[in-house]
Amino acid sequence: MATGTNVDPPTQMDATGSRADVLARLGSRRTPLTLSQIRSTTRHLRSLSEPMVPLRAAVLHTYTTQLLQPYWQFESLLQGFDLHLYEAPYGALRQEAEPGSGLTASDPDLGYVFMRWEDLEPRLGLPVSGLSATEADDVLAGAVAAVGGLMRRLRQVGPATLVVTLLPRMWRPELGAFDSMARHSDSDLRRRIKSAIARDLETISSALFCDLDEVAIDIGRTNMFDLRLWETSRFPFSVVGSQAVVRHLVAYAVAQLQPKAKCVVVDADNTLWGGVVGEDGFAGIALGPEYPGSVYATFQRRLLELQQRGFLLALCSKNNPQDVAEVLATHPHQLLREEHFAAMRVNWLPKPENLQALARELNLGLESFVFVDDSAHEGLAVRQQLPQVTVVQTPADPLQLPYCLDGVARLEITSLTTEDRDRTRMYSQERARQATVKSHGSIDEYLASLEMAMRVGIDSEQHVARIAQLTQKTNQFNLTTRRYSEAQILSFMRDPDRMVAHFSLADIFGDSGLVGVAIVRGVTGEVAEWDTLLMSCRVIGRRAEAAFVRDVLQRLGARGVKRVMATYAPTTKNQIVSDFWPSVGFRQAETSDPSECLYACDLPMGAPDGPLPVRVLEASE
Amino acid sequence: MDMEENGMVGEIESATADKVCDVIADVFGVPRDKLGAATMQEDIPEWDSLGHLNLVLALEEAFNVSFSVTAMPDLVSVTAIVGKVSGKWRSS
Repeated sequence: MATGTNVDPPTQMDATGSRADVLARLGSRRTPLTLSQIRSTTRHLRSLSEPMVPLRAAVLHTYTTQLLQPYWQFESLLQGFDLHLYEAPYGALRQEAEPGSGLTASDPDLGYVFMRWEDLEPRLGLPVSGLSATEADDVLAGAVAAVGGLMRRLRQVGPATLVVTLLPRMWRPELGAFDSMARHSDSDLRRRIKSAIARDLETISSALFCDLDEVAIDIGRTNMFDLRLWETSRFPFSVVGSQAVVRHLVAYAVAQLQPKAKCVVVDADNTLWGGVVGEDGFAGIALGPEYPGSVYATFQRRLLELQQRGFLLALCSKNNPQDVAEVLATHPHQLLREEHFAAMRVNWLPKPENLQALARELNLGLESFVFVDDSAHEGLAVRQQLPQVTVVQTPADPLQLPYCLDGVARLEITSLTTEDRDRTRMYSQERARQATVKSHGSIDEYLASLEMAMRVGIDSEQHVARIAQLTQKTNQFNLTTRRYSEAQILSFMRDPDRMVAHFSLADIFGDSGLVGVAIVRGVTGEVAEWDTLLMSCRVIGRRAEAAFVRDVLQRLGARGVKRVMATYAPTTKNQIVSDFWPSVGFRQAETSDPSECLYACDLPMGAPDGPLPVRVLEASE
Repeated sequence: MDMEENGMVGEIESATADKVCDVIADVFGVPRDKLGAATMQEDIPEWDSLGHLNLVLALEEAFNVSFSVTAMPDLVSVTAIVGKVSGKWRSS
């Protein structure tokens, strides 16, 4: 192999079709592409006149990165981006973190930083396993301060999301095979440094550490680097390494700038188990400790791991419902049971129709769906009829199945809250609630039986990530649909003239977590303006919003606000709240702009019309 | 070498030069008909120092060879590249 790698590229590649077709073929690929394939695919993708999402990216670097250009172009186009890339001058980091720099002029959505270990702390350029514990701690502190300092400066000037990387060590550990046993080893120090950097970056909004060591593990250290280029031009990566690195980095852009994936819909036959249950029978499907059943068992485990990232799982299968139900309920090696799926469609209807039904049931847009199926025919039908759904076709070789979702950019996440982890459990709780509704006479009785308690928090910085996430993802119960980044939410919380309120809701079935956000401007004056009011769709219908609004208005009144103005900004998705402000006691207000829906409420408010079924408590933390 | 072998070498070199020009056209996005056996680095503005590295990697893929660190800077014309790639037909 020409470049000294031991990974075989695919021998032929079909660079035709729409971007979605190409992505379905290449999006989850495990084998790297050749430069020639990358170039011809880039040319093909460029020739399509499909709409692309603009991506403004900036690269700061202390080693040569310009040779990554063809990979940036390719991966961006593949993921549906029209890329504008600014590369800072070699070695310019701090200077770029100043107003008026090339970086600020380029107005990037994402800023990528490529650094080496020795840039963080000079002692990292020499052996470290012999350092004393104090010296090692000192090196760690210096390294964390170097990264944190730079990120904080960059946060001042701009890019909405910052991703910092460290060039992996190109050789084996200092102590060789004994590294794993040594009490003070260089890899141990580097692990501690990376961990400390991550904890520090958590305190800076939208600043992330991307661990290129994980890329080296994935493709192999010997495959990642081209030592000739490194020694002559200070560009470290081979063709294989370059595309892997850029692929990881563009995934951050996908996570930040494209519609967030929320639900992974899987097929059953030849996806969750080998064979077709309707033909091979319960005992005939391959699922268990022996090949190929073992591969499918592993894939089910990987899907369960996706739930840990906050994704919902849904099932969409062309089968008799009882055949699938039997496997889910009783097969000894079936890991994904009914409770793991947020929704299911097992019938003989066309898959596009089922996906639409699943979207309606889950109250999600189809653009948040990732569809996994072994059939090229089904995948094509979905791509044609529902182009906003990302389609992943499982590989022909079952051995590759457990890996097939590893490279899907839309399944990367850039934040993880407790709500994300608990999401599936929330859905099964909701199913339990729906079941109770039927057993109560009136809606008031039902709501009272839930014994709901709401906790309201004000300017709570520890919830910045979840609050920002809600402003970005909530479409239906959202009065003004203003999207805010973590950095913006944090600045609102620290602004004395603004108030950021949130509430979480619990009832006898469980805790829904943080589900509502209000942002009010002008709270130090007499007339305040309600900038944002939104609520997660999972708690719609329980009148929590009325209790929340009342609580926020009481707080505003206590601060001396006499009048609150509010608006409704109609979108295609939020008709559900078109009449919301009047329903909570606001009156229509005069406005010179006929397209504006303006409301006002004078404080203090009168008593509510009826009992509110929600007790409001102060947030404990 | 007799006349027949000379002719064969010439044919192979000409085919190699064609393939080298194909790669150059592909890497730099220049029209193929502007390139020939006489093309050198100075003729193509996009063939700068970074472009050169891109070309080297593309040539390695196209010909399934690997260039040493010392050979890389010498690949600055079609003739030089042909010489290195069809190395087994030359004595040096």
